[in-house]
Amino acid sequence: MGTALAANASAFDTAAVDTLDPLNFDVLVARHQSMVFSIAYHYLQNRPAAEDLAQDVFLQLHHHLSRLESADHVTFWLRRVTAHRCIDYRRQHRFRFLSLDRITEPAHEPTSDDPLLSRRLQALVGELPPHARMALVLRYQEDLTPDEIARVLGRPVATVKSQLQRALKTLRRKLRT
Amino acid sequence: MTQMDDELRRAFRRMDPPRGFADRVRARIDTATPVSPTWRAASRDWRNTGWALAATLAIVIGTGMWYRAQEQRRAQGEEAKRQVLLSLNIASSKLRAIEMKVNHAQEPRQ
Repeated sequence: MGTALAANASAFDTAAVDTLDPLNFDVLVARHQSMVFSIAYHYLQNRPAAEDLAQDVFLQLHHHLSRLESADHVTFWLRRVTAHRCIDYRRQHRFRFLSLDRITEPAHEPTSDDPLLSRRLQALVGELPPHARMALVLRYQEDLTPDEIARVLGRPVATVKSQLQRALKTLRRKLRT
Repeated sequence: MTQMDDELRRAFRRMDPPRGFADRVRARIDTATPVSPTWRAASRDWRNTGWALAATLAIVIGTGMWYRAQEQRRAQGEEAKRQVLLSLNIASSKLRAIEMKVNHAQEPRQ
């Protein structure tokens, strides 16, 4: 069912999602599963944890569906809830995660022309403070502007901008060493 | 756009969740009414509130007991001081009486 949904996700037009009938929940899962899972995975860098968290986000979506007004609202809501859950999850499991971060995952799909550099970048991003890390994930995975990131994270735009600048500076410095 | 931006975009490209993800989400919704995060947060808050109350109660009781012990010690000290002063007074008046008697005995008889 999930595979079929994923395969058919592109077949659903925006109007079908716009109705936001609980019956269309499966459509929403199919449309947004890669976004939610990827935010969680890139932030947590742990596949099982990312899947659990993504499932929780969709369960929460199921409960809140009637309160969401449009497709854009759903997307914003999913990004916001995923981001906050990731930050909370990491805070609660930070000690346990230290060892899991470095585990090579056989199921990991190569996503870059230079997988080694991508892995290095992901590992370096994993060392950044929680909000800066989430800001980077939203900036480069979701292509959000600092204003949009600030709205998702509920933080001032100036803070997000400086976090992004500092994070990029740190990454550049660490990549050179 | 810098090379770093490109590399980060490549590193953070969206990826599909593991196969059967949507099925597992649907199964979780169908099989159980999950505890909503609001309730989870509420129960966590209650637990935290319980711990906070217990800690506050322990602090209040501990402080009360310590204060009571201090008060008892202070009262005992006051009582001891009062008794010492009283005994000094008695001793002093006795000494004065004896001194008077001695002085009176030493006066030449006429």
